[in-house]
Amino acid sequence: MNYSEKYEMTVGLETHIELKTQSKIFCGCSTKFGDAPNTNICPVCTGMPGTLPTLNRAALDYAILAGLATNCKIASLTKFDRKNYFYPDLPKAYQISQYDMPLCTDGYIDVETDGEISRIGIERIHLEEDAGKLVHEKDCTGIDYNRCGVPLIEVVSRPDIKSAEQARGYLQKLRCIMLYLGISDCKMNEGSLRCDVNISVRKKGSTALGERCEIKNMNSFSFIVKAIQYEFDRQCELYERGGTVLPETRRYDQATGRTELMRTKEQANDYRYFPEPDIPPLEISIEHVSRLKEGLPILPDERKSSYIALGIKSSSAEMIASSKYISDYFQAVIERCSDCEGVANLLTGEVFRMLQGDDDEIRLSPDQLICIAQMANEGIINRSTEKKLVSLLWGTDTDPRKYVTDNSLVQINDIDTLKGICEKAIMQSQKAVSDLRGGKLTAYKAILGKAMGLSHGNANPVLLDQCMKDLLGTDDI
Amino acid sequence: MSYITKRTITELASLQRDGLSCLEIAEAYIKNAQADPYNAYITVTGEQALERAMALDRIREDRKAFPLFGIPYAAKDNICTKGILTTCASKMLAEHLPVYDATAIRHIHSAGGVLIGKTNMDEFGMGSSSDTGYFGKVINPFNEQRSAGGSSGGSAVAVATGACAFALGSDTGGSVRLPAAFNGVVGVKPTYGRISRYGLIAFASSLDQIGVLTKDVTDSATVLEQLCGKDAMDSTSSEQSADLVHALSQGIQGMRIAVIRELTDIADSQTRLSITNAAAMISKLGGTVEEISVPEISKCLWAYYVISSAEASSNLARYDGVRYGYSAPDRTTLSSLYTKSRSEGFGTEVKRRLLLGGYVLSAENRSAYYLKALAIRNEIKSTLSRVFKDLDCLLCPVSPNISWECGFQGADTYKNDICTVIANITGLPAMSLPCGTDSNGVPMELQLMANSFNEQALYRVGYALEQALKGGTR
Amino acid sequence: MTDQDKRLYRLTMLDPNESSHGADLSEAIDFINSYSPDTAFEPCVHISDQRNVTRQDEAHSSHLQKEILSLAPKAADDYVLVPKTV
Repeated sequence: MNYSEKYEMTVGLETHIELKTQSKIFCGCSTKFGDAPNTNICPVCTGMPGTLPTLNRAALDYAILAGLATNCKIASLTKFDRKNYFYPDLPKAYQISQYDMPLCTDGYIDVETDGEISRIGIERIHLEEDAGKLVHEKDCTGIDYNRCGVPLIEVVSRPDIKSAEQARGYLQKLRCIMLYLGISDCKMNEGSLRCDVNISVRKKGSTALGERCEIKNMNSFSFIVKAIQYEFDRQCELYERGGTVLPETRRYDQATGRTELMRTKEQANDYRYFPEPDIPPLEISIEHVSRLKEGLPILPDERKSSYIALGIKSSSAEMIASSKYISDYFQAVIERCSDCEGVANLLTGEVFRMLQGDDDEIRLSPDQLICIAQMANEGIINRSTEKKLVSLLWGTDTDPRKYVTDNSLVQINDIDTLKGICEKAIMQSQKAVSDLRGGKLTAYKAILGKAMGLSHGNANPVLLDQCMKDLLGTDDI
Repeated sequence: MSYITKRTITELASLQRDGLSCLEIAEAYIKNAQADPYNAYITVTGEQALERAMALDRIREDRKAFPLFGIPYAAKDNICTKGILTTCASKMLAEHLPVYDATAIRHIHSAGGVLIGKTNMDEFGMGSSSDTGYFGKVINPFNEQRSAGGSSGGSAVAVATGACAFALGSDTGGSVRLPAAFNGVVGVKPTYGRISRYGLIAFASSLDQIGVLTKDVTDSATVLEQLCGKDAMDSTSSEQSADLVHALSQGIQGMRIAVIRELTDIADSQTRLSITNAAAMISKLGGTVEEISVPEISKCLWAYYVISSAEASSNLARYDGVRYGYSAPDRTTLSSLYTKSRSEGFGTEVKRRLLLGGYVLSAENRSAYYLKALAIRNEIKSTLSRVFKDLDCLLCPVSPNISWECGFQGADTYKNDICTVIANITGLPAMSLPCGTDSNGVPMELQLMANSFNEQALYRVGYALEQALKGGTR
Repeated sequence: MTDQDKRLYRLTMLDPNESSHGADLSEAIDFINSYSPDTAFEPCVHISDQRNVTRQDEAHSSHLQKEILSLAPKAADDYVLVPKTV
């Protein structure tokens, strides 16, 4: 059932991002991921009696950078608060977080979905500490405190998101910005980026918002999209049946693709927030913020604009800028050549196709790629060969020009040679020729294809086509 | 008490110069500590203390580098000592061995002190009679029928009875000053932030401070100087230095002292007399005394109980039977582990305060209680800050009553804290100073308060009064 | 105070009528409720004289991992154990 004609969704996202500082937010233990259990622990992060937190200044600065990169206001005075609840992964039985005076407020990021740019508001970004990890055995649960105290920022968006795809776009953009800043690895599979969804539904045209549900437990962007789609349908269906949506926290089940009730609003904790007395307040000066702002790297939107200014088309610019790694690679290209459009096309086409997964490397140097694009521009090779060369040279440091000459890949531009090839192709395609003469215009492709094959793919396609048409005397194909 | 255990730190240092060894000193105090007829100690670390004393004796030529060389001391059992039982007088931590030393312990150790044991207290510091602890109550050595005061009762009694030369306590609402007063010793709570709280097992984070209990004012200054200073492990600790011993003999000529009318009014007659006598003495010594009115004082107690319960409820939430401490045998579910460990591990008074704390912090009550208490805190801080613009010191009772009987009942026990909580609410330094005994031999005391980081004023006035009371000249 | 509130603190009074100093929980709450002082001041959140206290971002080992784990009432294979949470 397609409910999107009648209903629309309102989505807000709460994203937790682990900051990749050397040490934890409130103690000197290492934040390294994947170490043996309970090796990066000390009396402070395990909540031993008598211990006190001490704030890591890099965590504070990274959080300010995140705020600056998302156009937030940075608070001039901020503090921490205790969020009190019992759970085995929380050693002090409270999490040191920020409640009513968050570090960053009122920001936004621009997200492109289906060619349209929307501005998604960011209500706040605050600092807090991560909890430990639970490992479930058959009859008990084990606690690993390594992750306890790793610095987190919580980024809360305004409920400006209107579709599952827009949610994905927002998360990708947010992730991209954090990667550009270098403050997080943002790997969902390692837990350095986590996201909860708040979604409500209402009839189109209605001004009041519907009751919202919180969805948890999605560990990839595609599961988030699926969860939003499922939940949208679930809530629409409820309304269609005359039922009510209750304010619940629901858990997304990856196996079934459904959301299930976790707890109702009444069962929710009263966190008894109060200011953290062990950490004095922080006065953040304008000078300090300015210094951090000056040190900001160029961010994705700026990079994209600069590519467009170089003549690269918007969609390619967007694609390249959306990955810091690819964008950094492309910066190296820009430094070495003036006409980068060809390289941009190769990057967003063949190179992207060769990459497997987010962490894969481009196994061609910028010089190799520039060379390939240049040869195509100069007409030395045709576009088809240009594309093939990417995969042929992938993982080698072979000079593309040498490879082309050594392997007879040079484009054939000579008219006489091309004429000869065409004549040969015509001779070998008698049936197709007679079909053509008989009015079957599609037979032309077969004859042309034959000619290209006879040239081992090296014929200049435009000139070949012209030659063929001349010979066949068929200009109007 | 023997010849040795009657001596002050100053006197012991002098005796060492004359050849008295650390071992002899330690042996004398350990003997008293082990006898312990007043249940002042929970743990006596006799063997370790003797080893330490012998090690110090081997380097006695370098004695001068250590201001507390070979001086035996006790620490309240809520101060972490590595590998030595630290119980907070609670079943919850009855077998707890900390994995680190509190910063205060490390400082005393660096100064040459010899730890001889951990003292008895009210459970987790909650109480004013040292009678809520898991290991029984502390007995008042002057009168068994009377309370020993709390919550640092064990520390106060140990100093008073020669079972240590000085002791560390903790003061959240008067817990160093009150037992000091009931036992005739000097008790000081410094300005909030002077002494690192790292290793002090938290009761109420914005009120707790480690305090010092000694036989006299000079000893107190000697010890306190060793404890002050910034600690990287405690973000609330201050870098302000404390030069106290040198300030002692400066006298009080020209110093301005005031008595708070609202506190003298509620005091019993003996206490009021002590204050009048002290005021007269101050005038004789060249200081001025006036009476001021601080009506906001009446709000202090309420604010104290709201803030201390709220912070305690959060600080004690970590005791859940999972990582350390008492763990209930019933591990059928996580919930039963938590609930049983906490219900069986904590005593009644602690549970009462935790529930009160949760109550004042709950979403619907937060503004009416907790935030309001913080606003009152601000008001009182501001008022006293104004008062101290024209004054050096305040003189008032330690408690409205000179002491009370054991098992004193009624909500009025909360109200006894009115004179002491002011210093904790505002973070100001305060001293409780002996001023003789009453007709029944029960010690009497006064309280002095000074402005933030002005411990010098406290010590100057305290020293002058102490000397005058001894009959000596300034 | 409801049972729900007590559950919040994972506490039960073993004997609901238990009292010490004659002042039970209801008296304490009465004390809190009966007095409603006025004030026009803003909440004073921090009492120390410190501001902007931060430390350098440097990782180092506590060298206390084994000791910390040894304090746990139930632990195995380097994990602290609790009854199953899920």
